[in-house]
Amino acid sequence: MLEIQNIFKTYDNKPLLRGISFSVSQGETICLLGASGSGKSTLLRMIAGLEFPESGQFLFNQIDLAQTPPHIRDFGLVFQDYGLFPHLNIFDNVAFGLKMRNTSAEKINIRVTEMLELVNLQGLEKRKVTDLSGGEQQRVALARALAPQPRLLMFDEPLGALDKSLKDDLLNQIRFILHKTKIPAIYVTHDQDEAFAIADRILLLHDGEIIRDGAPDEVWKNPNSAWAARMLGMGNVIEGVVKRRMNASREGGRMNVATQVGVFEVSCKHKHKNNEKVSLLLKQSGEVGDEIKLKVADVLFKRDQFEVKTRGVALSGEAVSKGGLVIHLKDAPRVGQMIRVKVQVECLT
Amino acid sequence: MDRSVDFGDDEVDRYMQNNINLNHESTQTLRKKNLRAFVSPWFYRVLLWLAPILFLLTYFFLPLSKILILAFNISALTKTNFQLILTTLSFTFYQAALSTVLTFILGIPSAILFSRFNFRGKSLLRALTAVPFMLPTVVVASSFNALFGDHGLFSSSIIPHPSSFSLILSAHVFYNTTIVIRIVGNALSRLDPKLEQSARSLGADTFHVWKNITLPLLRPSLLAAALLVFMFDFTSFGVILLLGGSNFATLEVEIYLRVLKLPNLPLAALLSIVQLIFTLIFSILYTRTISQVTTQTAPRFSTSHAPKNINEKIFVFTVFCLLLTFFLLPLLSLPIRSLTRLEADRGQRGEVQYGFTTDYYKELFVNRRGSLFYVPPIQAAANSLGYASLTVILSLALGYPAAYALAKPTRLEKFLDPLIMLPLGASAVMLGLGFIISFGRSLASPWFVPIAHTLVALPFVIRTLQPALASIPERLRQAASTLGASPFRVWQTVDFPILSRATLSAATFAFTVSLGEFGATLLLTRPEYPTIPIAIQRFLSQPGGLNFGQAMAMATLLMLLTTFAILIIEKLRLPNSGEF
Repeated sequence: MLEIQNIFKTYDNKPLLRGISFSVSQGETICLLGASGSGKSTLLRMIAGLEFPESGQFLFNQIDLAQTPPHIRDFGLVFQDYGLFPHLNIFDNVAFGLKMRNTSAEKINIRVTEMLELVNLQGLEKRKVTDLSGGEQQRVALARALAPQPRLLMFDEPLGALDKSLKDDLLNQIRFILHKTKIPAIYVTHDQDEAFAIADRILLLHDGEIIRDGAPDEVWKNPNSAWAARMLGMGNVIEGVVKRRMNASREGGRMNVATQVGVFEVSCKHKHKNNEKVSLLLKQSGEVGDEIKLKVADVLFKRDQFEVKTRGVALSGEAVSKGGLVIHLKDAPRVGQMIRVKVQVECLT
Repeated sequence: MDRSVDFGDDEVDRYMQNNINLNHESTQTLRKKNLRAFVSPWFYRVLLWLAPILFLLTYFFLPLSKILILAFNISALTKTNFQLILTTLSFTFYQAALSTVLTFILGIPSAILFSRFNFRGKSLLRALTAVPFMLPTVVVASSFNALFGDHGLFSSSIIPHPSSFSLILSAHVFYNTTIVIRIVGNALSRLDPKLEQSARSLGADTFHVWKNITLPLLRPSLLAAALLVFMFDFTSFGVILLLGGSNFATLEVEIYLRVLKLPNLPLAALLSIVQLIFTLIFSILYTRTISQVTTQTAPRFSTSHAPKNINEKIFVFTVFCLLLTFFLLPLLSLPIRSLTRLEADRGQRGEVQYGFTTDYYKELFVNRRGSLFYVPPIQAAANSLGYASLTVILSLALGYPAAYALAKPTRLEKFLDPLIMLPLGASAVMLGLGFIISFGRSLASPWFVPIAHTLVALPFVIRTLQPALASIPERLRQAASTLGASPFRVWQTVDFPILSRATLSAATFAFTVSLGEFGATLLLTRPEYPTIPIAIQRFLSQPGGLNFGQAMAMATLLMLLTTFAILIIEKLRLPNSGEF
């Protein structure tokens, strides 16, 4: 349906987006995950036609959108801070898009009632939008975007301004509505929990490029880069240096990597030269895997376990200043104590 | 043996007694504290209010009541008088409405220019548009005279001579456009761009976005700006008298005529009451609408950008050039005309040197026999400075206690606040009229001019000092004292730095108001004590190139003095101390 082809955009003379391409198909929810300032929102506004790329194309059903002004595109947009019209009541806010399409008053009435029922705000038609709570305002914004039956829905960090419990509530509601209506959607966020909860496909945006594109479970299994692993909060990502033994096979495969917390034998996807830097992902495991020695630096209580910040221990037995790991334990160790943990090590590069 | 048994009755009694004594003592100190907390603040407040209230009672409310009594005298309530009031009122409305519409025609594109676009020289251009508002009306009138008047730079050229009425209208647009730029422009830049984006993505085209989103949200600010502009045009005096003469009788001009030219004090009183009622209505409406404007939320990021496409570039360029020409030309023509001889002076014989001359300035220092004054004209400048200094002292002395009381308002202040602001609603000419009716015989004293100026300046002085006083957070003082500062050191390190700026700003404001005040001074001043605006008016009302040139020179001096003062105020302005 929507195809985004090779979009370039600069901001303040610095490249913001460098060749973004992806497509969205019918009924699919795409989640664009990236740090703040990575250009996610700009990309959304460009799809909506509110801003323009320096080069690249947006196609919808094979039709180029370059000459289509935003009000003809028929794409709904939901903002983080709602963007409700403060001078209109709930009914008129939801009805706005329908009025712009010259829908009859009767049909508007039916549709608005329907939409307000969908977002659980029935009976509040005459209320001022400024009297509503954040969660309610966002539901009005959702109803407003849905009312004209857009060809595409876009969410720009819609839950960013809400607190935790409201977030989960509304997230479920959005998921339910998207599945029910089958409207293709692009959902922008920097929160990986939100992304994994709602997306059919996750796109990771980093340094102006899409560095990963896949189903949530695939992305989780194979983050493919140190940045992605960190962004997704998957565990400890550390740097290491390839140290090949003289008689190791010349093919890629398994190689030895020296890090601050020890030397690991891992298999990498790509070939690496001797002394090349690679990133490793260390996942804490129960019984299997490599055993490493760590010195406890700080202990924090987190729900049902203890989060332990540690320092790596070099071969000489001294704790090193960098390269500590964060691990989770059932029982709290003392600060300064030496502990042993088993980890599974993956090569990310 | 158990110790408790040892406690005899008398011991228990003594214990109880002690306790009672303790209680008694503590209630006494408590009562003292209560006294201090409840009685003395009121006493202090009354003390604070004593001088300002006495001043206003004597010099504002007493004259006002005299005007009221005179106005509702049977001799004033005649059919011919009502006829005259009706025609004057309708002309006043007509010219004010026309001026307001013209101001909006220039002001709205300018507001869009300043709130939506970034371009080179933006802040300078913005400052330029604000200058005329703060210039005295005599200077504005003189500028337009210097440009298009009978003796103006363009008087002899091919350009058709503009009528007095169109000169009056352009002068009104000249000093009121900045109001539209500030109020509407600020509201525009406070509009959340997401609202327009939402509307666009919901299917609204540019026209519908304006009609359904932007205009409704701007309505309070448009209304507030229109009311304020209309109010200033409604009470305009100096510009109309100096550019139009008595042919264009607005209420204000008619009051002046009925006091000095065709004396009929009861009619003048009736006219000023009519005017007061209208200005009060407008100011109440204005206060209501402006309060709706300021409640809108601030934007998260800047809404202005460099012009992108060709349409935007054309718009920015056109409005930029228009504003630059319209605001710079009159301001420049005044000093140029004051240094250029275009016509022979009266009684001048022989070869006339046209072109550059400094004669008009030199003449200011000469006491000619048969001249307009009994003193060298430059004496007017000395008088003005003297009056201005007195006004500064008086208005600060009265404004400070009032501002202190208003900074922490109680019910008393809520009641008094509108009363002190009431002189704003009275026009300057009306103040002069009130003085004449109330203090007729003693008006020979030159003291009445600075008193009248203080009445005009006092509301502004209070409104400048009050936010500064209120803005000093109690927490700053507490922090300073917990860090070991004595009460005096607290005042010296916390209060004083903030107050000194506001004080200087208020003082400069009072100074400029006094320098430029025209209406009241015209009615009150004695011939031998002219101020600069009065001297300009007298020069302009006399024939001859020399008189016109001297008016231009005087006006240039006043413009420079005021511009200098404005620069000081701008430097000292507290951030967010409000608009107007």
